Amino acid sequence: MKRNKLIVLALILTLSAVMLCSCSEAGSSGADADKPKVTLWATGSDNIRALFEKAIEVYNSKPESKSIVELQFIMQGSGDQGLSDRLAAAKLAGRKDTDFDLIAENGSSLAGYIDKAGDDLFVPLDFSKIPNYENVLIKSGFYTECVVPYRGTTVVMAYDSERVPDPPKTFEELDEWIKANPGRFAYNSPGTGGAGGAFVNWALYRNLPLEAYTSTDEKWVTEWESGWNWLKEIHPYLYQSGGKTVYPNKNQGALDLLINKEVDLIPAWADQVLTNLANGILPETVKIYQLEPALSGTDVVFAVPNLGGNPEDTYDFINFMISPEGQKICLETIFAIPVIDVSLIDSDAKDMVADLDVSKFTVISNGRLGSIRNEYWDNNIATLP
Amino acid sequence: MEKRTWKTNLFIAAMIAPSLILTMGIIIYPIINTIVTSFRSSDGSGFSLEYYKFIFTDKIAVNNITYTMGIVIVTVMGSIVISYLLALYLRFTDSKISKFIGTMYLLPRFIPQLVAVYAMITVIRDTGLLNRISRLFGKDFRPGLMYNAKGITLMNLWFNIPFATMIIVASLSAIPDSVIESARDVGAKKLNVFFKMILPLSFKDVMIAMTFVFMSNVSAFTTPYVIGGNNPIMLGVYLRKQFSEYANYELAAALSVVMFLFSSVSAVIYIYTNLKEKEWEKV
Repeated sequence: MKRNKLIVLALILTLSAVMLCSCSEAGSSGADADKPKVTLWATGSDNIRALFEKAIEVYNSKPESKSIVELQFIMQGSGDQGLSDRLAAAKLAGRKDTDFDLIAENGSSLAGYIDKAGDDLFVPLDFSKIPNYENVLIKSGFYTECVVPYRGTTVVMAYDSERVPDPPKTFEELDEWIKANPGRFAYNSPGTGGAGGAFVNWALYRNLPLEAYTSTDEKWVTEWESGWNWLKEIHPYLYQSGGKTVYPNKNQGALDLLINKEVDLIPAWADQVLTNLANGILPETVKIYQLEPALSGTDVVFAVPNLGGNPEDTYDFINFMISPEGQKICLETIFAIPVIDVSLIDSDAKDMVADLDVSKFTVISNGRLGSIRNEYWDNNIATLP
Repeated sequence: MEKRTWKTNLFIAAMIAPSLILTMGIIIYPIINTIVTSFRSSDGSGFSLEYYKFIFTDKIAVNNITYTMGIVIVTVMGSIVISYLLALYLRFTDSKISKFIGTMYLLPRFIPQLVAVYAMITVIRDTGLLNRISRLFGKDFRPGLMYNAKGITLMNLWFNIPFATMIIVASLSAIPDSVIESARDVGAKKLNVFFKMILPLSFKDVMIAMTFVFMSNVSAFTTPYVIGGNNPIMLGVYLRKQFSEYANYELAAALSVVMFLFSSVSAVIYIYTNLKEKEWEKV
């Protein structure tokens, strides 16, 4: 008896499993069956993951979409192998069967990719097949023929207007403010997040000629001296815990200090501050502004790696992301700075990014010099008493 | 004993094969690969000891090693002493409180590590729970536990005490009441019973608990990464920096080998205590 019951139970389970499988297949296939699959690779903090999940969900559910997009996301600072290393490995191994169909990356980081994988890593794009491209106001400064910018992002200063009514704007004012308000300024260690990195870059490149900003030549490393000296000079005046200056890890680490009112002023990504403000984690009194010269920002672009994928398949999704609808998703999900005329976008959030103009960004793109900078910082700034 | 047929042998081989292949592929091969990489010389010409020399002479690297060892030793000692006392209480007290603690003490083992670390941070940070409570009383108490060794050690104790207690409780439960009662009957004092009977009988398991706590903390990453400061840093964080920030793969490999050796020291102690027991059983 008992055995019979078991057999019946097993039969029912198998049957229902089979039916469930066939149902779900029927649900997702149909018209989608012949659409090509495009795997999008992206990297960054968690908000970028949220952005693409949202955008892809909207895109895939449209019957007129010409492809099915899938997201592969690499969390920054998770100790995982970076996207540039993976692409370089596949490229140098001569692979042509990868699923690196499309990547989304900071325009300023592309030099690092080319550095590792060679000049022909990205495929030149046929812009005539991306009709919305003509609405894009900025053209990327790097590999213009291979990339489509879809949003801008920049590091700004975030401060609590209740405690700092008049925040410092220039280098001299900032220097004076930090020394006059010991323990109230913090930046995250540059190896763990771009906000701290941009602040360190700001200190290092402030007095250098413009050509240095986009050079990967190691001769500029020797020119960083005065910048390092200033960072050493302000070290004792920064945020302290347990009687010692500490630098928080990750972009969120610095934001946490501002949220908990342990500091009053930090460099932070504009989109992260605005997101935290919108969901009420940062107090309403927190505001953002830009230093003079500006902390570095960049356009964020799509590019198609030369690794076997078919660029034609990706154009429709790229076109969607730079359409007013796609730009609205970027703006409302992560407060990304639009690349098209803001008046085309119908959203209440656009006022929040009104002051941040992509075309006025300071862009620093120094490829592998970033690693040299981080190593020097870890060995010479982090070790200060 | 029955003689094994070729069929049984084939069956045994088939049972072992998957795990053997997996072990070779994802453990043995990477280990060999790492060891070879760690001896490469920086000019690419051949093999040298330069990365090992660097690890044991560079000021920052040596500082990181002593920092890690300091935290690990304090963690091992602290968690063993506290766990032993807790285990003694749980084993020899029969009250409602001890029963309650007995069911609750394993709870931390079920909380994901990252959740626990962030929970701890909200309590111990300078504007955390402790600070807020102190402000109710008009004081401004700043624990100063974040971004340094104290915070990491506190978190490690939180993780390791339940684990060590679990092992030691199991060991103490294996000592029959009759053994202790008979010793008391012939007039042994409480302290005598402890040092002459309970401690020797549970010694082996204490050593095992120590080796496990040691090994899991030498290579710790999450806690020191989130709670720790910028310098010195624990070896796990240092290793990650070398690997994914500076792309210094040879040095990262050499560091892994060194961490592996540190862990093996405790593995040797573990095996030694296990073997010794077997000899003692023979008599």
